[in-house]
Amino acid sequence: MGRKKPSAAALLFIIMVFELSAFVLLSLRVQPIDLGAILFGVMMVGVFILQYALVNHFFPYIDRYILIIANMLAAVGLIVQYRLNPEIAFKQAGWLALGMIAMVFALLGVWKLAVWQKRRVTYILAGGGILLLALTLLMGRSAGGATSWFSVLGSTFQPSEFVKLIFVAVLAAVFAQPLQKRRLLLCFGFCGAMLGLLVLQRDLGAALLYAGTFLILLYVGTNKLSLVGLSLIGLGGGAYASYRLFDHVRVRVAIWQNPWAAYESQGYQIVQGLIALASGGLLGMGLGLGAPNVIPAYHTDFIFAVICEEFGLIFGVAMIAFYVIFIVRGALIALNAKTRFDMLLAFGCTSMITLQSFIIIGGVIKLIPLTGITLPFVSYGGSSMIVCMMLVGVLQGIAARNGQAEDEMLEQMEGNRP
Amino acid sequence: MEASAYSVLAMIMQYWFIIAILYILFRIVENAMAEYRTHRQIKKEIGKQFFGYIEIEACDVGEMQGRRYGIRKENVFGRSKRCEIAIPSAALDASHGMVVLRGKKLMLFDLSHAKGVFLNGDRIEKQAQLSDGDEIRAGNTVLRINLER
Repeated sequence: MGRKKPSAAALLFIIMVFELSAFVLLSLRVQPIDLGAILFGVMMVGVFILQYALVNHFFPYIDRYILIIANMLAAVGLIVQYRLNPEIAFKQAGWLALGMIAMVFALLGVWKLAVWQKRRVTYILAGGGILLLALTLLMGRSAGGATSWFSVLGSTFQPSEFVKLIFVAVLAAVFAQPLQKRRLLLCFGFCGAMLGLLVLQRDLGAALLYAGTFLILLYVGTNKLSLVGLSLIGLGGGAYASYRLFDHVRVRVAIWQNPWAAYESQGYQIVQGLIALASGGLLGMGLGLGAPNVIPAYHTDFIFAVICEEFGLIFGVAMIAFYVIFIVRGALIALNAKTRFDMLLAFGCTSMITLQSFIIIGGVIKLIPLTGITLPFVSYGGSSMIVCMMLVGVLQGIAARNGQAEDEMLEQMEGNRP
Repeated sequence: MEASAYSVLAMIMQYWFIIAILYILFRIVENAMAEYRTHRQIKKEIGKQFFGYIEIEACDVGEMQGRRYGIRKENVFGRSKRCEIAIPSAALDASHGMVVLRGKKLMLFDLSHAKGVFLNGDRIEKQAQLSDGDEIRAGNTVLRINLER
């Protein structure tokens, strides 16, 4: 089908040069030259181009720009992580590779399989999700005050990440069908259970994320502001209740309002983050010249502060812009979707990724209370990277479906020429 | 490299990094918008011509079942390969019938010699007007009209 696409060659070229130049700079940071950095840079660029070429070749209908943005963000993440500690960069590269494979699986799963909408599957998924979170609550190890990690195969595994996929799939399946009281109530119950479990696990960031995605899908799916209003009241009540019941929540709100008062203890992280942002100014201090190690969780939650300190605020705003473009592309895929389920699934995935980025960036710049979630694609974190890539895979799968359906329609337009 | 030299280099590179990422951002937006515009054009083309489609709901030729044909100005169906909707069924005449788009109206014409064309169960005389969801039977083939709203 003669669908002409503007060449992305110039774009890819600049990205390659960008990435390589950053690693070359990093290699010069020590004496003697760290050839490992250059090697790593070359490898990462190679993987990027390879993945782009392969995916583009085998799946011609996918959204290239989402792929490019995800890779770009991951590249920036890798650059900063190498700067912080080459070890974590290597690990993250491994997670990225796994993530790419997972993305392809997710893509195929959504494109080729039609099971996700079936009632039985939805119930199984919902039950599985609740079970997974409940298990984490009971068995998990505490890491940074949130009982959300447990060890599988020697590396920590964060189930609330994978449950994201389940959550989106279940909600999309529910709202794809016409409104029905019983189903809606069951759905509310499911969400309530998930949110409750997350709050109990003190994973407030995830709770906020799931709540936001739920509201978005609720509105897009049912189009009834009344339901949305009702849910908002419910969620607001839940938030207030957790504020009264849980110390952890109170602390977060307190340090959000005035981190300077608790500078030595709980407010330390936010304050250091803010200082880092300010130190960077618009142009940044220069790669490798900042002082990120004073910020707790500098390679995960606060990576945005590290990036802004060294690359500057203009760069930081550009990154935010990437996430905004992500929303637009994701929404386009959703609007081009041929079935309601596809549309809701696309909106769900887009919301998950972009809401998450806004929540953590908002927390770092003290716009909203800080929550412990990662910056998609950029932060160090295996589960986070894999799940985000899978969400992208789902979006690509839906895009593939769209493209295929449109090509089929076009073919039919040709009909049966004599 | 010495620390001071590195500092200078890093600061210079900063300008490059910022320009690069802004350029990348700009290009992504540009390219995406161009692609979107081409895509919109294609969809408009489809939309303009896409009045609806005719679906083969049932046919004694198994593999024809489920096939859909976009409705064009003239849609002749029959056994002949020259038809827009060519159905290799012995129960059909070479040119059995025709669906014609006249302005906003969709008309059905009987071109068969004796076999006849049936609209929603009733045999039509020469021509009849079609609406969304109508069922056309010719020989052992059932065609369904689906119109875009």
